[in-house]
Amino acid sequence: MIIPHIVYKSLRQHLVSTLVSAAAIALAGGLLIAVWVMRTESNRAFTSVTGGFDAVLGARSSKLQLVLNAIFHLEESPGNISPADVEQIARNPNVELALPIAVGDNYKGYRLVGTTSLLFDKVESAPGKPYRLAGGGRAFAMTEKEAVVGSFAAAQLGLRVGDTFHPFHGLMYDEKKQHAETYVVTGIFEPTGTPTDRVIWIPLEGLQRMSGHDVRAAAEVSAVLVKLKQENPMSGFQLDMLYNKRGNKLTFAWPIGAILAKLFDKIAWFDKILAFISYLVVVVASASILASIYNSMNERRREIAILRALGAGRLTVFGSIVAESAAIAGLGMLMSFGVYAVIVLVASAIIRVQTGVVINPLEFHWVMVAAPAGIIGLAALCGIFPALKAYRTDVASNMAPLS
Amino acid sequence: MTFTTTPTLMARNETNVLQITGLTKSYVSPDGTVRQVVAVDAFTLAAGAQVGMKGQSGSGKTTFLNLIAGIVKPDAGSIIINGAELTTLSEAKRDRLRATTLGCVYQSFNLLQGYTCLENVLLAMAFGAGRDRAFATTLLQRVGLSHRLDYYPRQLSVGQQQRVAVARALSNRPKLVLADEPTGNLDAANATETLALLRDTCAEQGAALLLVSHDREILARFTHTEEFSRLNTPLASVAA
Repeated sequence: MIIPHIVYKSLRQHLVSTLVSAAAIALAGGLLIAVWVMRTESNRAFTSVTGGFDAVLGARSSKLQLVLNAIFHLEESPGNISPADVEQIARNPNVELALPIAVGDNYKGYRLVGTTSLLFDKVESAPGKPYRLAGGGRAFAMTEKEAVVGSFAAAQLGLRVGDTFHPFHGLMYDEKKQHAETYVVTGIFEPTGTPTDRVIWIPLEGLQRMSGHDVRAAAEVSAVLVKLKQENPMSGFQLDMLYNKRGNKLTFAWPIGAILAKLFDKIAWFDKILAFISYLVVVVASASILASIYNSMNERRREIAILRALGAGRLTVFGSIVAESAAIAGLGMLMSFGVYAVIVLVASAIIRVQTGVVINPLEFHWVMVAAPAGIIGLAALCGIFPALKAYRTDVASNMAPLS
Repeated sequence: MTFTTTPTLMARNETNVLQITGLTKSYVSPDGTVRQVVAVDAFTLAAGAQVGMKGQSGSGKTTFLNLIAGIVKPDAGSIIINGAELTTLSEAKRDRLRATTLGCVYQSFNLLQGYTCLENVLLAMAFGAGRDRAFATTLLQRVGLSHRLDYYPRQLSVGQQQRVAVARALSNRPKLVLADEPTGNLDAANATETLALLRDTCAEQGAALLLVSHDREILARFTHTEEFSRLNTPLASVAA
């Protein structure tokens, strides 16, 4: 048990370099864990966001654009679809629910989405989680200029039940493009952790017939959110054939999760670059421990010689240097969880603001064990070089001048 | 007589704590010549004996002590310490023997700066018989540092530092204490006090003391003294 004692005393004696090296490891380790967890968690969160639907039917376009527009409320609508197409999909025997949506307006940058009251009655934000209105609110009436606001949008805009607002034309906020209509907030949704938290829901016709909109397209919708009947496992495939293979007017984006997964596959190279950079940072930080200890070996020679003269074996001094390197990394990795927490809390807050998707960054992940173990191991490996120098330290020449 | 320099082949003598025979050590100089530094035919030291050895700087006396301590390996010869043949032991066993049987006091104290007085003594114990806080405290009390147990070496005077070194040298209840110019960095008053302390504590602990110095006044306090130049008769330099 002498090695831990020697290591502890050495770390204290070289406190500044210990803390600097540990801080470098903390930054590197925190970055590495954050990259891994954010990549995994965001992948999981985005591919599991379906808004309670299985598919999206929209104008001919890419499936990804449809999903991003209709589910994540990010992209522009690729075009409208006719009432007949809406009717057709709603009556398809494979479809349990078809929810038409219309987009094209915003309120101070938060998207207005027109839909029907089915949203309140039949839709779940996730399996077993229906949309719930916060206390004191109610659903909008289809014939009134009323709105139900997503929790995040309401908080950011300061909207409460009873408040009124004037929508703005377009998906981007432009204060010169204010509509004349006045909408009353009748309810606020409870948080769902999905993009709908960033949306202001109004009656479908309200959006279609907003002042200034093209009256010829007043009956059209931007997309239809589709929930398939579960009893037929081929329902999605059959609709895919119907709209995508045989038809050429509409696009049926199904399944939603797989389409998002393809997006993540396409940007996997970016993940790899991020991971590579974080690995590189870890290697650099570990090398900084090596450099720090190695450079201090000259001033430590006398101490090592004294230890050896007192009876410490070569393996004891070798082991104490390796252990010291590992201990610095261990200290750094303890600190790294603080760095990790800051990075992921900021990153997840940005993701929530931009997409409405809530990521749980503090969930346990195997990398939280593997990264510290790997980095401590790497640091111990780096410690071998100065440890070899300690091992070879000549006692007699480093103790005192010959007399 | 407590020691002898008689150059005879000697049987292992259990009453001698140190028994040296035919000991030589050479170094290769930068110019390639081999320089013999130590050539001691015979030297013994009885258990509990105290010997002052006079030697000038560069005479090889530190190398001689390092050979006895097992820090340097000899070219030839025998060193028996407390019955164990040092020259045939592995390095690990020499380290162990040094920790358990020998105590060393140096001119430059060689205290570890990151350790307090008490920790310096306890660390030496950890390599030897095991940490004994009570005994370490007793030793430091004996050398007059009971009020400085938690002081770091930099917080002590040079005299106090050497007293810590004395306590540390005795911490594993050694059979032999090697002292290399222990008063070299001290003023006259501190030198006298430290020497007395070293001799008294060695006597109390039953440890033999071999002290090398070039200071005549220090050596004059020993009943038994030896001229290292008479003991050590290295050959002239030879080509490598």
